[in-house]
Amino acid sequence: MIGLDDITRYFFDIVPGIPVTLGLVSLSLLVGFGMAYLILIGNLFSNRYGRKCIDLFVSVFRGSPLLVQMFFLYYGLGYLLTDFLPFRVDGFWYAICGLSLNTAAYTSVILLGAVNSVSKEQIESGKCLGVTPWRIFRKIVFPQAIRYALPAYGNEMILITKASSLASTITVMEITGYSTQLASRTYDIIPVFGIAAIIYLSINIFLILSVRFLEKLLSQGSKVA
Amino acid sequence: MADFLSFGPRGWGDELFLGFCMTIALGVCVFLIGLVIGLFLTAAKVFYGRYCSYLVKAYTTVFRGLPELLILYYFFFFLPDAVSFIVKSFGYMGVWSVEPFFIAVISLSLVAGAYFTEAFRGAIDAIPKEQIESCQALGMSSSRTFWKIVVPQMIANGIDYINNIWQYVFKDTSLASLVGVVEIMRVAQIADRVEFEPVIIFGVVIVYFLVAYFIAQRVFVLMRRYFISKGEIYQKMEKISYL
Repeated sequence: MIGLDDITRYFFDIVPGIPVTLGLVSLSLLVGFGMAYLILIGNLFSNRYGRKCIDLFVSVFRGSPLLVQMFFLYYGLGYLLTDFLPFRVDGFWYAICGLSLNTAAYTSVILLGAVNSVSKEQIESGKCLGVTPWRIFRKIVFPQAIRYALPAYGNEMILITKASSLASTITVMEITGYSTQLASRTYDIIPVFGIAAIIYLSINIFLILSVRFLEKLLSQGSKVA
Repeated sequence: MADFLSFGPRGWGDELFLGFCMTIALGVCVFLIGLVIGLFLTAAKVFYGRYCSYLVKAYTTVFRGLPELLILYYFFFFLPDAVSFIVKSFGYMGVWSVEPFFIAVISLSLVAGAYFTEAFRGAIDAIPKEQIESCQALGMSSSRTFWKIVVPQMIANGIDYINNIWQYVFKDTSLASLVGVVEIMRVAQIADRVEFEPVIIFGVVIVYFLVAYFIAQRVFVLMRRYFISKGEIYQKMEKISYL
């Protein structure tokens, strides 16, 4: 029979995975958002052919599973890199690479939709006042687009938290990695996966609540919610 | 270079193609079972009141909030135990193994069902209340109203979400390789161990998924057009009946 001390022991066995998961999620969200910003600028300010290339990049990363991308990076890129690098790159960095490329593709679509929903009159009046296109984008359109994009971006953050569990397949020991290891060692399936589930759910609920708080904060003094 | 990708006994081309057929079979199974789960949970929410809808809400929150990999691993460890327990309680003393395909279908379709339930929740709000009232006035039973009036419009309203769910489900089937279903990802892993050409083999897998992605996008564009034209027909019928 499983006692309370067993459950606490399992919990402390899984705990070292929490900072790894949080590191994966936060780093890849940060890098991914930067890349999505660059993709957005490319999409808005380049010609037809540049836009085609960006579309291809985005649909490659949206159309194929993250697991395939991770394996492609970890085994494929890792295989190519071993010839050039004197040291071995940890699976953690490949996981961050895959996750951030994936979230960059998804976030760029969210941002593009948000930019398109900013009213055209504002851009026209900006042009009339002689503001340069780059300044219009940076000072007028983008701050409002962020507010429109926030609910969808919250969803994306949750998806990335869930997707970070795939890093366990390329040898990164995070929450899922520790819990499967523990489950196959102790065979106490329900408590072990229950603890992991509670940790993931609390991370996601925290994300949902913080996005709601941010939404409220950003929509202060404006008509649009 | 492409010798190991050829179709035939020497290459991996036919194995990869058969693996992709398995991926499609898995995706279609998960999608359809998820659709059924979503429809029945929505019906349960409509017919059985508040407490039932709290339960459904808990289910959707848990299955949408947890990583699919964790759910898959949970069923991977739990289901054989549960099955052997049930089988033993009936007096069978042998070993009863569970096919990995069933583990993958059960766990992934529970996730898909949660997504469908949430999509239908939004779509059902868009249906005007007057239609249900007029069904009551015509003396239709409530289950008939739900299945004949609400569900077709619910699916038509939620067609974009259903497209998203299909893409999501189809990409999630690659996780099934981790519990031992021999689909394209598993074949690619085996081929990579033998041939040691990870870039090309996983590149081929990405191309397969991209082709499926573009085909599914086209199909959903057509379906959308079909539903919109249907909607126009309904509107015309409405106008005629008003006259």
